[in-house]
Amino acid sequence: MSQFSVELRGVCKTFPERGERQELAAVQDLNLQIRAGEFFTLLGPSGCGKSTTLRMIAGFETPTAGQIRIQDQAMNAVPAYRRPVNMVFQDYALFPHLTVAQNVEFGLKVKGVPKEQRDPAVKEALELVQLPGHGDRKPEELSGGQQQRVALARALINRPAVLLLDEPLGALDLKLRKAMQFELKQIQSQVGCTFVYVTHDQEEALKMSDRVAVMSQGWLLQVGNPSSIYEKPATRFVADFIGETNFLSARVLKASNGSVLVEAAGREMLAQWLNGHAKVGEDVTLTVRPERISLFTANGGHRKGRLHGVAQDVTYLGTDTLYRVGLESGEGLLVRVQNSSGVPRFSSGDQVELSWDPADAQALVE
Amino acid sequence: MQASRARPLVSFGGLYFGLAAAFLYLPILLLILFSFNDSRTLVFPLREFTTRWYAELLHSPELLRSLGNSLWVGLLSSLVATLLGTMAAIAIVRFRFRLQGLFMAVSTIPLVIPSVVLGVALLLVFAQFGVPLSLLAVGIGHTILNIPYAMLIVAARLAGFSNHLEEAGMDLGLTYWGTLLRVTLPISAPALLAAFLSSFTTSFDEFAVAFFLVGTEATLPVYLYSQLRFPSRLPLVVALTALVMVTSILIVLGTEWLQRRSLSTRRRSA
Ligand SMILES: Nc1ncnc2c1ncn2[C@@H]1O[C@H](COP(=O)(O)OP(=O)(O)OP(=O)(O)O)[C@@H](O)[C@H]1O
Ligand SMILES: [Mg+2]
Repeated sequence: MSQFSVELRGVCKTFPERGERQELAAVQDLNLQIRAGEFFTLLGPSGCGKSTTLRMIAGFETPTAGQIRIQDQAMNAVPAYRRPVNMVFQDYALFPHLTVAQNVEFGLKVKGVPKEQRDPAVKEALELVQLPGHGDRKPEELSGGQQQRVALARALINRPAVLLLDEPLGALDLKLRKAMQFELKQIQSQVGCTFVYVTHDQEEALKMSDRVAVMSQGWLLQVGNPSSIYEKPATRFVADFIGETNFLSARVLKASNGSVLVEAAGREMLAQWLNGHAKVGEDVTLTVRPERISLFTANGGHRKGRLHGVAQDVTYLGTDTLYRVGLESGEGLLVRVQNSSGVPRFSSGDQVELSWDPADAQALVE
Repeated sequence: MQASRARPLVSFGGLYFGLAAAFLYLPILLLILFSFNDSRTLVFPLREFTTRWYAELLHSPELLRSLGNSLWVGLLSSLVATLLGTMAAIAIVRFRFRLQGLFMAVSTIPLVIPSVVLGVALLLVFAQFGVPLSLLAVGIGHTILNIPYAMLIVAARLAGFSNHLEEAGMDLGLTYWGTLLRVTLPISAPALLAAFLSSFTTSFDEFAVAFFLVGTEATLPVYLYSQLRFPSRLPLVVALTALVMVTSILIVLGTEWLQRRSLSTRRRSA
């Protein structure tokens, strides 16, 4: 048996475009390996194919090409009702004609589990999601957050190998959302099953996931743990989509293994290079996170390795101060500086010097 | 204080109510009144109060027989219309297929065909295929008449809840048919009942199609029409129509209530 809970091999999905004779490629040549017990997140902007991917794993959509394997079994010919997965829908999809308890026990009842075994299981599942004693209510009598929990209990009671969650917190307000993020993580560590989670919220993805897959327009751009996605983005899109970042246009002067010498903002500087072989003379984009840039008071003279600029906008954010610095090259950089007593403060119009560690700068192909 | 706008003498609502009362409720009132009036002629002044017309109804075997015929035709044709209408509704709301627009148009065309035309057309078709004029023929006619209504009522309900509910059913281990039986139909139950009741009332007092297709066994409306030739039977007809009308109103109110209930649960679950 392989270590993978879910495996996608070259999966494509095209939808016939309505009204026209075109086809819409929702998912393109997707290869993914999701490990058992992992909290795996599909992240990307609206329409990038996250839900379609999840629905193919669930069995609600058939891949146009490629193979889906769950626990080392090919699933293409297995209908949704025989797959060892369960889904939590964004709109909860609780059965309105049944009580909470009847909703939760639904899967067991379908499987023919006798009532003596169902009742304690329902009780346990409702306790897991912190809704003990709510079994006799109708779903419509519960708040959105409570309905979400019922949906979770209804799925988990079946002890699926993989739990699929499609933006499960999308309809909740911010506070409840944060509480549920934490709770979901806890529930996952209690039940130990694989979670495949869909969200378009990068913060949520970084916070909750063991690994994140970033998608855009049907393509998988990068898979990795949250820190590698954030710190070593593979493409400009990923760098831009995850958190705040700066871009500078640059040209490759010298390429070596893993790093490049580039010309950017009128200076020569070193940067990380992760995309195979760089070509000398190629135009690339340099990206640096705002919090990785240091600001210094300008004291005349050009110190080696520092850029010069003028503080333009200063935004005080409590723990940090955010500066927009105009460079001599005409480009602008965001700089985030943690407020502490030893750190100089600048105001709009001040001359400043900037620098960063070459390890924090990534050169990316366009 | 000054009224900002001159108020019209009669409001439109008042006008409508007045007209409705005059042309709809007054005749109904008269009907009920004369059904208890001890006279064979339907003229004022009223005579003694009597329930004898209602009593005579019970001893009028032909009439009871036509009532029974209508009930049977209504029951069976409504069942079939609800069944077929539900299937069509599921096809339209839950599936995407080629020529869907055409399918939709074809299934709703009976809504705009006058029933007289449908009656004549069916008469021709049945004659061609050797289907005898009979209650069966009337039932088929009423089924055709009712399918679009049933379909629209059920389709509105299906469109009102997300197909995620059905996917959840399959996700929890039900086959397609299992989901239909244990998720789709129970959630649509109020609409199914509404479709059935509305089909039944339509069939029960349908005259045009039935008139062309009945054989020797009359349905109630056809029988009543044939009785108009005998003035002495008029009070009986009046009593019966009063009964039918009260029953129909109750059924219509029931249907309305069910539809409201299904709409409000839909709103809450949306
Ligand atoms: N059943 C369908 N028929 C036709 N096109 C579809 C269907 N489902 C999805 N699509 C299209 O496929 C693309 C990907 O859709 P998908 O729902 O997977 O996006 P998503 O990443 O989940 O977006 P969102 O964050 O908005 O939910 C979209 O362009 C969408 O319009
Ligand atoms: Mg989606």
